[in-house]
Amino acid sequence: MDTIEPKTEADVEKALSWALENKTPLCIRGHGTKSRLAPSSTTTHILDLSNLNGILSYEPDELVISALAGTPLDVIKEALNEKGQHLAFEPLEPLPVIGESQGSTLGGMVAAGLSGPRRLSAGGVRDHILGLSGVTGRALAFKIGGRVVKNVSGYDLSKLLTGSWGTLAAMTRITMKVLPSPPETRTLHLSGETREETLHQLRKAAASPCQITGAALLEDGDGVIRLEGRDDEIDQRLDLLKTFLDTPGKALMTDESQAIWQSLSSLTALSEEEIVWRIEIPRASAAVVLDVAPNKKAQVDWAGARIWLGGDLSEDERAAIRNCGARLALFHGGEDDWRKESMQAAANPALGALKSRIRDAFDPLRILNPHIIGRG
Amino acid sequence: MKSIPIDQSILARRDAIIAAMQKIVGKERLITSDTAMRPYESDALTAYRQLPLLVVLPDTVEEVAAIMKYASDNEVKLVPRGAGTSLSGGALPLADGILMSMARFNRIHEIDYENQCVVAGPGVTNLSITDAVKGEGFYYAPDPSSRIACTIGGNVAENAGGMHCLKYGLTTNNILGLELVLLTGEVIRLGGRDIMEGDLDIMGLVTGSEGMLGVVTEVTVRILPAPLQAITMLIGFDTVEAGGKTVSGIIAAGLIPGALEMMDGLAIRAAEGFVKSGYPTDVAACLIIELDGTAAEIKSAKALVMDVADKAGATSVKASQNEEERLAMWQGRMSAFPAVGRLAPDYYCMDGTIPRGKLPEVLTAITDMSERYGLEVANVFHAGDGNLHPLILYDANKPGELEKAESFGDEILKLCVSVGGVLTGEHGVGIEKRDLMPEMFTETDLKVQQQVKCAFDPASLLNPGKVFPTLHRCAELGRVHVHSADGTRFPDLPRF
Repeated sequence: MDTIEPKTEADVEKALSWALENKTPLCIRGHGTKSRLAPSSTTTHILDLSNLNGILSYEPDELVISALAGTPLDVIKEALNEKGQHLAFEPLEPLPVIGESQGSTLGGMVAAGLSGPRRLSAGGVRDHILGLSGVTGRALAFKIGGRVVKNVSGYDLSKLLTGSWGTLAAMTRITMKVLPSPPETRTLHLSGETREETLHQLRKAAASPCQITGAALLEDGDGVIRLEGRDDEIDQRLDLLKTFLDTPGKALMTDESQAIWQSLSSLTALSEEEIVWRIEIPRASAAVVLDVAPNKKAQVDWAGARIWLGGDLSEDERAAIRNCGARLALFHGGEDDWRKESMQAAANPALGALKSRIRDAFDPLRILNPHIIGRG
Repeated sequence: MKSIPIDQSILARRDAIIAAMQKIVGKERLITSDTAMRPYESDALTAYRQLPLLVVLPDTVEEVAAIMKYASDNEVKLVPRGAGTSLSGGALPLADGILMSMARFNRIHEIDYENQCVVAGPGVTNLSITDAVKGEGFYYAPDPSSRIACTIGGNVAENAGGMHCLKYGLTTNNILGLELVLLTGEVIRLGGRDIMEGDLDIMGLVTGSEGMLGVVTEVTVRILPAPLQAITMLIGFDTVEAGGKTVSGIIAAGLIPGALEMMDGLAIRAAEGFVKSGYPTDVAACLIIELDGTAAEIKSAKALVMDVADKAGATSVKASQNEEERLAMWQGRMSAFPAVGRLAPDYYCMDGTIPRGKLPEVLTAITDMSERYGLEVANVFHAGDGNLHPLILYDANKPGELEKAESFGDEILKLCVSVGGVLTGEHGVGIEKRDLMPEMFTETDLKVQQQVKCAFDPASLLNPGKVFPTLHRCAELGRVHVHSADGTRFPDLPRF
């Protein structure tokens, strides 16, 4: 396997021109942390973007940071942390699951588009991208967006590229919206109820005017609800939250809270699982989905709208989950089934054809991550 | 004035097209006489007027699909329209285009409190969604000023914002699902009833695509629990700088208010003359801030705001004591546009976004331009996110004044881009800002966007003449060009 290691954005354009001319598909890679969440690469060449590394500008007062795509996410988080800011969508970094120790790059995070528990209230990765530059599979270097939130100039390609798993363009620089980190956190820990009842409480919390920022079901069946804010108001809000629920909970303070939510955004509870499924479902139906395979290890997020399930699922179980109205996808492991699952997921031929035409627009010769089809 | 080229061959086929539309929707939902089409000749960018080829008002998804398939098969242009409140000409008809009104898709299909969403037809007005759920303590957050009239389908097309989007996001951050009809006549569903991120985000692409990729026939929106309480604060400053400093200070301190608006002296005096909200009229600028949440949150936030404003040198601070006062204090800001409209026969509402910190600099430059062009301008902004609405006053009856106003507007937008901002924050590009796109995007940037459009509309039939200054043919855009930047070829693996 040959590796191409561009050092600048101009190099990336050159690399893609070469690949296009030689009709040589590339596997795009930052630190490769997402490679085990996708089918194995079939390409002979890797485009390693990790040398595109560095924060280009960070303006805390403007709530904006811009960096090259190969910048380690940890470096970004550290720079933000120093100024009391953070990426509000809480990137999901399932390192324990995929057995990696080195974290993701900024580009890898955006390409996978995986958000953590706070997506419930703060929006996801896709809601925090203000602008980006990249090179398409036609070797066209382009930029979209800018550095401001209110922007409807032209098509919102940043939404399309987020979560596109490197199949549309090689991103070279990304500008993100950042927000102040809340100084205080409280977690209400609910236990002793059935999963169905706990999920009901999570939904009640989400529908309350308490502005919760997380609602999850742990793999032991306990529920956790998060509040974040300032110390001169958060405890009153916690008391208010309790009045909207039917079961008392135990309140946890900032430090203990952070450990719980950190674990949820790294899927630690599923780290021993060889196969992990991702299920997305309207939250009110989460309990029904869990009942299809009640003995599987499960972590539920977004007040029920996202379920992580550990272990293999039979054909019948998969069909039953889909019949609940859920979107089911293989997240990790079980590679032989990967393409089969992806193909099945394209339920509507019109949508499948449109996705193919969109891919043609960016990458007609399929030189970008061709092994990733119907993914993301 | 910008123009859109007309395809005479379409005009020549008008009778056949009318007959075909009649086959689909019958006689009653088809409008062909000039008089009856007159209400559709413009949107809220009233300087531009154009009667369409015909107006058709479909009732069902099947009709929409049939109309679009006909347009595609017969190469007839199509302009979808909600309420026609676009301020950039997004719904401006084409002389050679079918104007397809989505107004009859005005039913709320389902309110799903369990999943916190509402499923609505694209012709449902923005405000009526909130009205439908407020009894249960919910609301739909994006609130453009035209919400009493604008439709949710139009909101999707323009990615509409509003005063509360600083804290609660724009349309694209608040919708969960769409049903979209393509020019092929196919109907696709994107998203669902809750948040999802496991699929290619075509919904995100379609939102803000100004009616150029497909036609929305159903929208599923997220509804949020209404905040328990809210207060409004009105803060006066004797310089714009002090106002801008306060805005930055509030956000830097970690507080994102529910709304954070600014008006300049001229806008304030116009508003006071119109609605008498008790705004300080002897100031250079004032901030209107909404703080929402629990009583404790509001108390905490209010203290923070007062501290920042005080340090920045505010000359007056007022906070509402009850709901009646809160609503009254908003009246001035809400009436700003019509109030300014009383100052001159016409006004031209601009829309651009700049980095917050550039506010004083840009305002000073706008004042200079105002003197140069000899046209007054009042400024109203969503200060929290740097989205400006300069209102240029002019008299269309004076020869050359409209052109002067347009040049003035163009210069403001170019300035926005040059200080690191963008051409349009929420009103869209439409026809209005089309020719300024090269200020922000290179030819290649625009090419990449148009290549995406080719996946939806290879013949450029949906709302052509809007957004992109030059239409390239998809055959040309689709060709794969292999170019070597330095003219050499690459037989060997590139090493850097």
